[in-house]
Amino acid sequence: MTPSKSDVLLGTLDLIVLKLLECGPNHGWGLAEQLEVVTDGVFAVNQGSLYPALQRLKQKGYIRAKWGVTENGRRARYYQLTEGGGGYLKEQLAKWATTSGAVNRVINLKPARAEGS
Amino acid sequence: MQFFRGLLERLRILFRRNRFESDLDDELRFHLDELTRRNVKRGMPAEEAAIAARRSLGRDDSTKADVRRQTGVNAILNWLDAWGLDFKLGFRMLVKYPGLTLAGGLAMAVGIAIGLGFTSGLDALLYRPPLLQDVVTVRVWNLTRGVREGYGAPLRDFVRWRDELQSVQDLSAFIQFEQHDLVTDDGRGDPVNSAQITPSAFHLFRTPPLMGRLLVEEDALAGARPVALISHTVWRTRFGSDPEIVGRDVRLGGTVHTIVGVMPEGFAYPVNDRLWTPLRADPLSFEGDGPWVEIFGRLTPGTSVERARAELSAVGLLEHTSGVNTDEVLVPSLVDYATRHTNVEDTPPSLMHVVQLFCALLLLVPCANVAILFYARTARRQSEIAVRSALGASRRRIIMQLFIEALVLALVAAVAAFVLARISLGQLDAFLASRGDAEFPAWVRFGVSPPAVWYLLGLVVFAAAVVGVVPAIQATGRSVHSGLRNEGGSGGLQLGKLWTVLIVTQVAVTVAVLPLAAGVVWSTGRSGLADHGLATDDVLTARLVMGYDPPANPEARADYQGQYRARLQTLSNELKRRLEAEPDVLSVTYAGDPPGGIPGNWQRFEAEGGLLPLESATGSGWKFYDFVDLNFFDFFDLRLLAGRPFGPDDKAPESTAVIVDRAFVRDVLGEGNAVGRRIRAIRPADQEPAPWLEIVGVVEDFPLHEITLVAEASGTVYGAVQDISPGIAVRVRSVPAAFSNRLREIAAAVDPNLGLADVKTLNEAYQSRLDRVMGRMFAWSIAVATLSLLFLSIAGIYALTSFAVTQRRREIGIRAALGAHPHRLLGSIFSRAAMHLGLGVALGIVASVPIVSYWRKIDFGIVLGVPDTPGFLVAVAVLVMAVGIAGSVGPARRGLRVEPTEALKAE
Repeated sequence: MTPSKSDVLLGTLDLIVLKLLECGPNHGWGLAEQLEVVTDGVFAVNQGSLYPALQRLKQKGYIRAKWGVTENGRRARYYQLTEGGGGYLKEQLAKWATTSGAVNRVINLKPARAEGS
Repeated sequence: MQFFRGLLERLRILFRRNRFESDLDDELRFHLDELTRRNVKRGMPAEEAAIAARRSLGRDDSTKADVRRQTGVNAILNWLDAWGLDFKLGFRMLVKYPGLTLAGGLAMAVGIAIGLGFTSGLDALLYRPPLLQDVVTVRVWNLTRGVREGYGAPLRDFVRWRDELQSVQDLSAFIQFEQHDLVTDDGRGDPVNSAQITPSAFHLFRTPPLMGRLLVEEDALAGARPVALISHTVWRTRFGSDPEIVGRDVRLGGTVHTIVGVMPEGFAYPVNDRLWTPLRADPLSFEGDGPWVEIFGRLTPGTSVERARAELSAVGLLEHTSGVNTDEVLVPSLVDYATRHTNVEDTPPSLMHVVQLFCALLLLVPCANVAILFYARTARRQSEIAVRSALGASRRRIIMQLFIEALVLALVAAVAAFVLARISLGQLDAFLASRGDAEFPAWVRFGVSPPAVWYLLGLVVFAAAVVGVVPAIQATGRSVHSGLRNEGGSGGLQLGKLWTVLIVTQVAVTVAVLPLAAGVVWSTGRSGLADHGLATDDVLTARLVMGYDPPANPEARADYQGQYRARLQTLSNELKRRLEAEPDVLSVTYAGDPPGGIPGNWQRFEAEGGLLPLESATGSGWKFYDFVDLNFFDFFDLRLLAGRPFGPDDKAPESTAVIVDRAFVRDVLGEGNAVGRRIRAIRPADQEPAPWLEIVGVVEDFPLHEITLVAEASGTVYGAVQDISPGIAVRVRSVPAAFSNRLREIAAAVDPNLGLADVKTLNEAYQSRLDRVMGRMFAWSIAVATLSLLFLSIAGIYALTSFAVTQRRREIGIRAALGAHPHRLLGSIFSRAAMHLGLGVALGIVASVPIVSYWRKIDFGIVLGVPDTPGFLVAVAVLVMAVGIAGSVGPARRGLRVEPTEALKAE
């Protein structure tokens, strides 16, 4: 069964975009595609979520944008992580590690055997 | 930081919106194309691939809207739209309510102009030109007496400090000569402000000459040829911008100097100087400690003023400096050079804030008044506000709208205030520049300063907040929807007793100060001297000046002074003789001070066997003591009331004869015959008493002597001129102004060293007196303030009547329906306004009597020409009543036009 595509987890889009940009500058389409590839198509990001998120991060100064040319010779807007964005990403990653660790611990709980049964 | 970055980004998008939109389009198209391309790559036919891509991406419009929302630009645009509308409405309100605009605008403008003027004035005094940053000057403090001993020090100390001080570089010294006579080849001997200055000062000022060279150390050596450096102004006005000026000889004082250079335009350091000669900083060439010089220098880079002060006080002053009491402890210190010359070197920077705060508080007074008018207007618009509120406008939104309406009014007032302040400061600046006072720094220019403009904007917001927000909070506080119920009927708001009291007080204050203001303006406006009983249109006055270069040696100095006096006397006699021979000249007279100017020599007198003048009717008892020519009284048609005129014998040095005027007799001697009584000047207890003088005659008061800034001064003692009397007055047949050149020519022909300063007609001399100029400015401020008060009162009455009509709309309608005669209706509308007016006027009249009489007593240099007859007060009362009633005519007419059916329908 092919896994169906689903939107990224609520509230994690900023973290994902910043993490992807940590690998290097990329355009909106590139980011969307990269996400699909990395997650084996489990997660997909809609353009209606991606571009507002990029604008939001830009406004906060975490990323900057510059027009460039793709390998196919197309003009595209490339986004790049700023220094402030790098710091913010580190903070968010640490938070994510704590949160996901906690969630995993809950998930991995073994059901206790009922007493007397 | 993040906030500002976001704001910048927003602004960038806001101003480049088209670019932002097209970039977004491009970006989304690229995304779509790439997705289509991938679909094709995965085997879809092109058309299907495009449709699938489009479908999976969703609508572009909604993505774009989401991106735009993230930028926050839409919010800004909406906000700007709303503000734009509010501003438009604000301007409409200005036109719709002209009374409020005029009265409120004027009152606020006056308040704002005062704040702006004060701030700019203080800014000018605290200004430090770039060249004078880090420049300090020596101030000597007398620790024994706890007072400032003076600025500078004797030359001997300067020389020692120059050699020893490490923390101050380019230590320099100068002596200022007010109006040193510069005599050019054509015989013109006009005085110029000059400074004898150590050449090192030019190193400190870092300004190259326009032509020629600066003063150098060699110029100051003993035996060096006398040289002078001149300013651009002197070069232009006295030498016609002669390109060959360098090397030309001029007489300065009595000595020939060679001009070595011209300084560029605007250079007038050290204070307000136009000519510089080298100061020989060699104590050996002077007796004792040398002359007292002003000392200044630049702090060595990296040195704090505290460190420099500590170093100077450690080096200290030499003992036994001449001219000071050796028992006293004197400590030299360093203060800022620029602000020392405006006497604000000790002013803490916080003073500016205190002044600004004070002016803002002062602005509260007119603003509170305008706020009430605004409140009344808001009350009339209660139904409009209710409708807006019902349509969904929040309270904040309505308050913001009313604030912006007030802001528009405040902005208009600010523009008027700016113009007013600019004109007044410009006048002051032009006046000070024309005086060219040697001690008033040239770098101080009065005008509206850039920081003051920021303050102005602050005042505008403050005024708008007081005027707009407070009434808006009041008006929107209670249930605004009651306004809807009352639409067409009476408003839901009330004007309390407080408001009535305020209006009555305002009318009373207007009536009380109006006679005073009218008097001040009237007296100051009367410019002709003829109003003071002097027919003087044909009199020209001037001050004789002759170069004075005394040698340093005390004995030689005394000799020089004797010769100087004798020479000046001979020359002035010769000048008088030649002038009298001129066909155009009717008569010539001399006086100690040029007539028309402010008398300079003030003394306090006591009468033999009489009371000390401390108890005299006019207070401190300062009298003007002048030495006049024998024909002085005839020249000015001053009638001798008793005794005899001066005779030739009275010119003898041992003569004790004086003539006093009537004011002196009244104040010092009281009733009885003054002729034959003896008076003398009061000297401090530790000095020898002044000789007794005998009164030989009494003359009429010379009106110009009484009108001075020294409020208590009235009364003159005249002695007969003995030798030097630099003030000259010439009565001519022709136009006096036209004769001034001829007068200069004649003086130059008598002796090239004899110059004439301040050649003016008597009227000009009188008008350009500092007290007259200040008086005129003062009168203008009083006039504008009173006018704004009058407008405010009328606007208050208008608002009150208007409010009453709105409130009583239904009642008026019913009465009209029942057949009430319009006259009765009108009477009932007017009666309340008339009551307020009448009460205010009555209170004002009662208050005005002591105010006017107090004013007469203190008399700030302006003789009050206001008639204090009851008739004048009645005229003022009638005027205020009339304009007040006129103010309520508009609303009353509106009341009469109330249709009974309309008014009742609203119920």
